[in-house]
Parts: sequence; C-alpha cells; structure tokens
Amino acid sequence: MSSKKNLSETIERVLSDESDVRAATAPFQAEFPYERDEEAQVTRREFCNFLGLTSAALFVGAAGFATKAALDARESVSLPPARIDGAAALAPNSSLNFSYPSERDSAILIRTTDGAYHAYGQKCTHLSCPVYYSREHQRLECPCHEGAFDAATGNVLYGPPPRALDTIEVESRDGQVWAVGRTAAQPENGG
Amino acid sequence: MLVMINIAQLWILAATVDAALARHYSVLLPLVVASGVCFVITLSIIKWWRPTSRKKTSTGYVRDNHR
Repeated sequence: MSSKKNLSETIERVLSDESDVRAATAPFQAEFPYERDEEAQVTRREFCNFLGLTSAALFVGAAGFATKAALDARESVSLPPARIDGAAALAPNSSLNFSYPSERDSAILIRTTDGAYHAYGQKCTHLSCPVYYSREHQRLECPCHEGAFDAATGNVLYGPPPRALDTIEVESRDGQVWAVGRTAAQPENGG
Repeated sequence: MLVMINIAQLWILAATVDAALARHYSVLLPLVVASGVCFVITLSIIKWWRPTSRKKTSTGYVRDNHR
C-alpha cells in the first residue's frame, strides 16, 4: 500500500517538475556535449506555437506557389528565335539537349526516324523531372515515375503526367534548325 | 489535433504544387482557401484552447489541484 503511495507521489512530483525527469536519465548521458537540459525544456505552449508557425509556413507556401503559377499563366511574351547548335548534324532516331528561351529552360530536340525535327521542354509535366529520348522505344520517357510521351506530338502515352510536354516550334533556315516559339500544353481534362 | 491539421496542410500544399505543374488553375484558389481555413483553425486552437485541468481566474489560467 505504501509502495503504491510512494509511486503516485513520485509520478506527481515528476510531472510537476521537469527537472526531475532530466535527473532521471542515465549518468553516462551527462558526458554527451549537447545541452540536454535545454533540449528537454519544450513546453506544451512552445510546441503549439511551433505547430502554429508550421501551419503559417504551409499556408504561405501554398498561396505563394498558386500565385506564381497564376502569374506565369498570364504572362505572354514573344520569344526571340534561337539557332540550335549541332541540330543539322543530328542523326535520325537521336536527340540533342539545348536551352530555350533562356539558359534555365532546358529542352530536348528529337530527330525521328523519318528525319523530322521535334522539340519539347525537357521538364516532365508531372513533377518536373528531366525527360530523355529512348532510342529503343522511340519515345520520351521520364525516369522518375515512369511516364512516357509521344516523340512526334509530345502527348502522354502512359504514366502519371497530366498533360503533354511543352512544345517548342522549330524551323529550318539555311540548313540550320531554329527554335522560334514555345507553347505550353493544356491539361487533357480541361482545368 | 494541431499535428493532424499540419498534416492536412502538407497534403494541400502537395496538391497545390501538383495542380500548378499540371496547369489546373481552377483548383488553385480552393486549395489555397482550404489551407487558409486550416491556418485559422490552428490559430483559434492555440488562442482559445486550454487543458481541462486548468481553470480560469482573474489573473489567467491556473492548475486546479482540487480535482
């Protein structure tokens, strides 16, 4: 009976004073360099405040991402033509990486087996992994989540991508291949 | 509860990123509003929730040792 009382008193004392909780740790832990006292001093209120800040950060992140996407959608600029170096020497059923319209916008030029040129933005429309040209299957494939796109149209063949790749219009001028514009495809189910 | 709301907001953020990349612009606003509602609920809980073991006095909430 008295042991039960002692136990309940101990529990009450430990719950009422966090310093006892820290004192109850093993002696060898005192030799570790980090401040265990400070680490254990997280009150319920502090934890709630941390979760509140996390909630604010997640809200700001969602709002910021949506705003940026909406602003990007309204932006319509005419892109300057750019010559794609090395495209003229590209063998059929092979690909070449380039950037268009800026250095940050990676793109991929494909010369199909019939000799036609097709160019697309290299970012997969699922989660922006870079797609590559599979010579064996003659299609564009995304290695991250196994999506695939048609090499001639950029349309989704299978996998999680919700829309076709961004299309880059190409033209032949004086034996050279030029990129002259970039179009973002719309989702297949509207949206 | 707060952790659950945080997890829901994390899911909403992932859906927002997914929708933006897929150019599903029509769902962006509802997702942002949903995240905002979660944030308001979180603030409300932090502001007004108190443990049942505390009672309100003129100087604030104190532990009720007589329960």
